[in-house]
Amino acid sequence: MTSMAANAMSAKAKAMLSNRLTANDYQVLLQKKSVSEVASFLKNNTYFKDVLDGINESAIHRGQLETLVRMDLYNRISRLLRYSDKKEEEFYRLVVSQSEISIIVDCIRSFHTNDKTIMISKMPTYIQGKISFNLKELSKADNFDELLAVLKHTDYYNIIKKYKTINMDEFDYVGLEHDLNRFHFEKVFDVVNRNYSGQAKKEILEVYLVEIELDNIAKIYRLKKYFNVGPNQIKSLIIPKYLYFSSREIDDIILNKKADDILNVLANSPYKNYLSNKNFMYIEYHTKSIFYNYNKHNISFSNNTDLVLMSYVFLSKIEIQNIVDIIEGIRYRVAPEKISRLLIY
Amino acid sequence: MAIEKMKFVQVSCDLEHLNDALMTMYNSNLLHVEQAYNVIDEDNGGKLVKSDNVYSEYCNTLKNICHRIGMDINVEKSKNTYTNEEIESFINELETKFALVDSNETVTLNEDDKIALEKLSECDFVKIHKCQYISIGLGRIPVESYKKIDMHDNKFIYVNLHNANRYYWIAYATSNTYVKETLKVLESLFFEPIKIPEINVKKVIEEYRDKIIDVYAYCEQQCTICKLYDYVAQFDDKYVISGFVPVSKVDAYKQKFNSIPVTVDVLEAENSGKCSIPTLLKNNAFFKPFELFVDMYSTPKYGDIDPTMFVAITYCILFGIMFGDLGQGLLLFVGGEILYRKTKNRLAGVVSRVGITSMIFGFLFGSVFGLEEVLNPVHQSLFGVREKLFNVMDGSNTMTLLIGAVLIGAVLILVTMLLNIYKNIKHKEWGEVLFSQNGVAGFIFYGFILVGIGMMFLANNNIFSPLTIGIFIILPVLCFFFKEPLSHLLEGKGITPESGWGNFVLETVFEVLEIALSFVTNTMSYLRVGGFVLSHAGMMLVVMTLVEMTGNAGPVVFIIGNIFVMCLEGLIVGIQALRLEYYEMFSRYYDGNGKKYQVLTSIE
Repeated sequence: MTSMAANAMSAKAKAMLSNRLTANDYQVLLQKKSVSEVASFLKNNTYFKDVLDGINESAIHRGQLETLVRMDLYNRISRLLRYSDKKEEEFYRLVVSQSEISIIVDCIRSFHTNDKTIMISKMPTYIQGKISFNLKELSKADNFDELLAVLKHTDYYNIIKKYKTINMDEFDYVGLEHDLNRFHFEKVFDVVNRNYSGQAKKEILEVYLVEIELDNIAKIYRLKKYFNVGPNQIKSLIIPKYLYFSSREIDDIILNKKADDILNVLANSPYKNYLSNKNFMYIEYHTKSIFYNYNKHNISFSNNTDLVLMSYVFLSKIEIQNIVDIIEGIRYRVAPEKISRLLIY
Repeated sequence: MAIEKMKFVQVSCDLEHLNDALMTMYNSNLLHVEQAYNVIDEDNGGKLVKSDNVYSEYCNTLKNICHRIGMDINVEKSKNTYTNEEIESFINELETKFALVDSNETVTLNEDDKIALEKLSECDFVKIHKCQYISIGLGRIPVESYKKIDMHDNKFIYVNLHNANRYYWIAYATSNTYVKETLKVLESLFFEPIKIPEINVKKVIEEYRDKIIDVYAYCEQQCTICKLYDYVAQFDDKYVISGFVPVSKVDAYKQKFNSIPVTVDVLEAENSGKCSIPTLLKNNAFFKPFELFVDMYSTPKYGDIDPTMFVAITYCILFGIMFGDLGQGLLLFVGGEILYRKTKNRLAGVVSRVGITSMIFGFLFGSVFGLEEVLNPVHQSLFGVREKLFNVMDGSNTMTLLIGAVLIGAVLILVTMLLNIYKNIKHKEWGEVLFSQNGVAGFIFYGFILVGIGMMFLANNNIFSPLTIGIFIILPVLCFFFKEPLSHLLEGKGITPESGWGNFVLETVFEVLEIALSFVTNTMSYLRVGGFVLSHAGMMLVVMTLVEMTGNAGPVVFIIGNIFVMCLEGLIVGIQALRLEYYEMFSRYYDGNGKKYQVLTSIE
């Protein structure tokens, strides 16, 4: 990418981020009484107006609104990538890869429930062309053999093959998701190592390492607190990549710390600068807040265009999750103050 | 410059023919009808006619039904008559027939929904609802979901009826056994169902359309008649419709009633009792557009003078002087005339007429689209002058121009005084004629001073002597001062002023001072006429300088500059000329306060 194109993309990403929902927008959204009102507000007052143009907001289905909001992220990334070259395209593939993993897991779940409606409704057909397998064929798969036939030419084939079983009642979803995520991050590191060097490589790797490390900590907390899982099994379920915590420190947390101590560990770590000042609600809220603030910092201060693009994608995903939380909260009549505590902004 | 003579016309008939008479009057477009309470009084024993207007209710109900079912009513003339019972029963029938539509009322269908429904209506809605073993549904499904329908093992068939930006509109059919399963699949695809109406409203509308329109037209006609009862006075068993008709139209109005047994009495307008006589201005085609300015100020009273012609002449002259340009005047004339002929807009008529005077003065000033020397050869050959007849931009002409403007103003003030004297003689207001500032006293006072000053400067002859000052200045001032007691004397009343001598003296001292001051300020006000001549020429000079500066782009600047000056200057000059009409002239001779002649349809 030429430096001019890089600057253009960076500037565009920063400009697009400046349009994100404000605290005031969230307050207005929280006061809405129905999904229609949320849709109407988003359509008329936010940058989602383009993706929501033409919808029938008075009768819009919650699921469709969520789909459109999610779809908008891909549209925005595509707009940014107009300035990019092959390297950035590979990052787009990485974003798509996460969707692919969700689709495969949903498909396997449907073998268990014998109900494909959820899987099909969640399928992002708007990126069908970018997905490495055929969605329509996948939707017809009723068992592992049929699924493997669809995935035969993809990298997922060997991972899924290991889990092939007839007895779905004892299926190891945690293991499957862990393996798929691990595979995803391997691909990430491969892309970074191939395309970058020096300081740029260090900065970009750091974003993913932060994501992995925070995800590991949340996982450790949850497994210790709610599932009483032993240290060896916890170790097998985390991705062995380290940034601010060394391997020894993580082992120490797994072996010696109680779940509630993990919060203190976080508060005394280099992540303390990114901690949210809200009271504890649940572990993912804190790890995601840290990740949000970390990425916001990158966007504000980094000159590395690809880093800005990545942070933009991460922040947008958090924003989309906020909107989804509001929509679902309103749909299930959760009090606005309770929904508000879930939002990260 | 006239006001149309009026006759007071009363049409009497019995109750049986009253409705016909009212409709004839209403459709004649000739009668300025008077409210019945103006016609009746205790002496003549007249009564107001009361009527319960049930037809207004019927009209509203029919309109509501039509709105609900999406039918437009184009009112035509009713072909049949209906009794109230028939109308009510028809409304009930419509309510019952379209009641099924109401259940759908909470759902607002957009245009795309309607297109899909229209397409589905090819299968009869009634037949769709009659299906016993098959369930048929309609709805919109997001584009993304539409692609996914075939991913399911469907137990239903579907057809695409319509599609737009974000949705597809589909109709599905399934066996009753699979309804639940089908709905679950569609629900998961964010399908938004649209209720299929139980009847095909469009088809039913077509069945009823003619009758609905006919009944509505009848009700509206009856409703109009009921409203007209306000204009009917009842004298025993006679019903009388009264109003004013221009003398020239009386016969035409009478003829309208030939087919109805009525008595038409034509009286002098002055014998109309409590009714105030309306004014219909009558001017020729050239002056007609200027009625706009008179109407804007106030319609003249019946019997007063119509100032339209005077306004037209003075307005055209003042505008022409201030906006003197042969080319721009021609454009105003042509543009105004085309617009006036097309739209009958009176302001356009005014523009076209002032365009003529603008051309005349433009020719005299030798100015064509700001080109000040184009007409020099013509002037030289016609008037035998060295350059041009009158060079506005020549500094030595500036004083001549300003003095000329003041002179025009002085003459106009004197003429307006004469008009005021004429008006008051007509009304036999002798006090106003003789002693007022705009009467004979004012005319002598102002005229003498003007002549005196003129003689002093032009003929070097001072006519101001103690005798002339005493007769032509002090005496008129005394007339202004004692106008009220002197007027009372002429009218045969007591000489004492109404507010007493003390108050009278105090008020009148200030009034006389104000009169003297107003003569000066009114005269000076006309300086603006000269000012705008200079302003117009100055603006065009700027345009021409810019044209020279811009080289090749000159023609474009020339056109834009002319358009700019025409719009800006035209507007300002138009307003200033109107200001002179209203403030300096109308205030001296014109009261208005008349009632405009309006036929019933235009009143409504």
